[in-house]
Amino acid sequence: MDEREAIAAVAGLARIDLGPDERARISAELGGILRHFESIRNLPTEGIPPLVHATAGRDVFRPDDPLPPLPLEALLGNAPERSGEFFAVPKVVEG
Amino acid sequence: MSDLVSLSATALRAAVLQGEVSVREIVEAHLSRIAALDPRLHAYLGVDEAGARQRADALDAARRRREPAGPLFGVPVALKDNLCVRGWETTCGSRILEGFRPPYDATAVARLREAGAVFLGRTNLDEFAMGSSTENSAFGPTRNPWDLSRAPGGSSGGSAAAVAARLAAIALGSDTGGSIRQPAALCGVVGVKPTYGRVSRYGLVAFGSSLDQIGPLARTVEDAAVALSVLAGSDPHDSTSVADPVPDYAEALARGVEGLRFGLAREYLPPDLDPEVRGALERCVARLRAEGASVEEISLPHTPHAIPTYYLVATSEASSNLARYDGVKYGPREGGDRDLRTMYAATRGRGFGPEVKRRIFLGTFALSSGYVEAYYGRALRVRSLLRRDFDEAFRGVDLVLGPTSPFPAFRLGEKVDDPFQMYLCDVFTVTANLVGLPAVSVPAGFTSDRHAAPGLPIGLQVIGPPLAEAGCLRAAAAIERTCGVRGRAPALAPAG
Repeated sequence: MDEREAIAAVAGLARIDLGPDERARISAELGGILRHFESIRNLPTEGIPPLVHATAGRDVFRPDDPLPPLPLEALLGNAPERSGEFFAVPKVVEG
Repeated sequence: MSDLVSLSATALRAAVLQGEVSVREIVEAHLSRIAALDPRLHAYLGVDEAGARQRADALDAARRRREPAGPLFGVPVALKDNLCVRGWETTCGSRILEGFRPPYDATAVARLREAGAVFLGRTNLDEFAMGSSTENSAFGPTRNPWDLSRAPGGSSGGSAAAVAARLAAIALGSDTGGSIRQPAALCGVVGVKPTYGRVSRYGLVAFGSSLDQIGPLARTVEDAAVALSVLAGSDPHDSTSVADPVPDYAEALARGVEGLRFGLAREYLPPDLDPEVRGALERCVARLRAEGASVEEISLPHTPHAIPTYYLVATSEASSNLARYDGVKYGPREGGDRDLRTMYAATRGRGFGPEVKRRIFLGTFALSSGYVEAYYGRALRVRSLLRRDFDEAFRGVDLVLGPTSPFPAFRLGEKVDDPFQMYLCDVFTVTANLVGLPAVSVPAGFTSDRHAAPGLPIGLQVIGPPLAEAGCLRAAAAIERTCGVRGRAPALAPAG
C-alpha cells in the first residue's frame, strides 16, 4: 500500500471526509509526528506490563436499582432528524 | 463595596454573609466587567446574564430567610464549555456540537450549584480540549490578559483568562495532559489537576477517558482548595470516581512546609528551559528551604518518552470517544440525503477542525491493525515505566517540584503551524495524567524587564502521590506566600 492509499484507508476507518489539501497536509504532518515518536519504539519494554488505566483492576459494585431515565424529548430534541420517538438516519436496509 | 471583582471567592462569600454586599451586586459587578473587557479577551463563548441574575436573586432571598449558606455561596463561577449544564448550549469549541443542549448537569456542576455558586457563562477552549493555546477553538482564540498578543495557554484558556482578568472568581477546567495547569501558569492563576478519580467525570465531554480530570482554577490557593473540597467525592454516575473520604483541603494550608521533602527532577530542568522560569524555580527552592522544607535532586528517567506516550494514548482514546459525533444524536448533519456511511464521513469532515482531525487520524492509525502493538501497545508499556519513575521518587520525597511550562505565554500564531512544537508545551504536565497523579500549578513570579517578554506570569508545579491533593495545596500555599505574587492584576482597558 503506498502512502496515499494508506492515508485514504485511515481516513476511511476514522469516517472522516478529507479534501485533497487536507490529505496532503495530514500525510506530511503524520510522518513528522511519528518520527518524533520513534524514541519509544526503540525503548526496551520486554516484560513490562501495559498500563491501560491508572486505577485499573478495581471492581465497582452498586445495587441494580433502576433510576429514572433522562427525558426522551430533551434527548431527541438535540437530534438533527427524528421520526417520532426515534433518531432518523439514512436508509440502511433496502427493500 | 468597591472592587468586588478583585475579591477572592472566600472573601466574597464572607462579605455576603456579613451583609456587606448582596449576591446580585457581586454578579452585576462581574457582568459589567465581562461586557467591558471580554470583547477583547474572548474568554467566554456565552454569558448567561439572565440566569446569573435570577440565581443571584434566589440566593439573596435564601439569605434573607437565613437558610444555610454553602461553601461557595454567592461566588461567581465560569465553566469550561465541555461541561454539561442543563439548558445551556455545550459546544466544546466545535462546530460539530453546535446547538447541543444537554438535558442534565455534570456532577461537578451540580456540586458547585449545591454549594451556592452562581454560573456566569461558558468559557472558550481548544476544540474538544485538544490544544495548548485555545487557538484551536472553532469560535476564535482567547487572548492572554497579561499581553493581548499572546495565547492564554490551553485547552482551558478561556477559564484561566477569565479568572486572571477578574471576569469570574473561580472557573472549572478539564485537564487531560495539562489543560488546567498550563493555562493557569501562563495566565498567573492557580490550577488544580486532581488525582484520577478524585472528581467525577460525569457530564464532562470525554477526550481521553483514562486521563481526563475536572479541576478548579482560582486566584488564590485557598479558593482552589475550597472549590476542590466541593468537587471531590465519589459519584454513582462515574465508576472511576474514588470513594476515599474528602478532606477539608483549605484546612491543611496553614500548616506550612516544614519537614516536607521536595524532589527536583533533573529531567524537568532541560538546557532549553526559559532562564527566567529556571530562576523562579531556584528562588522558590531557596524559599522552601528557608521555610524548613528539604529539596533534593531526583531523577524521573523516562520523562523524555512522556510526550510520545501521551500523544499516542490520548489520541487513541480520542479516536474512540469522538466516534459518537456522527450526525445522528446531536449537532448538524451533512449528506443526510446519501447513504449512512457517506453521511457520517461528510458530517465529521465538515464538523471537526484541523487539530481534532489530526488527532483522530493519529489515534485511528495507532490502533489500526498491523500498527497497534508498535504504537498504542508500546505506549502503554512505557506508561508503566513512567509510573515506576514516580513510585521510585515517592519512596524518597513527599512531592515533586518543577516548572509547569518550559516557557511563559507565547505569541498567538507562534506555534500553530508546527503541531509537534505545540505538543511540547505539555512536556512537564502530561505525566501526571498518564500516571493519574494530583498536581497543582501556582504562580511563582513574573518575567523581568531583562526578558524578551517582560511582565508575564511564571507558574510552578507540585506533583504528589495519589490522593495527596492536600499536600500539593499546602506546598502551593507556601509558594504563594513566599513568592509574593498575590494581588498583582493585569492592566486591562475596556474595549474602545
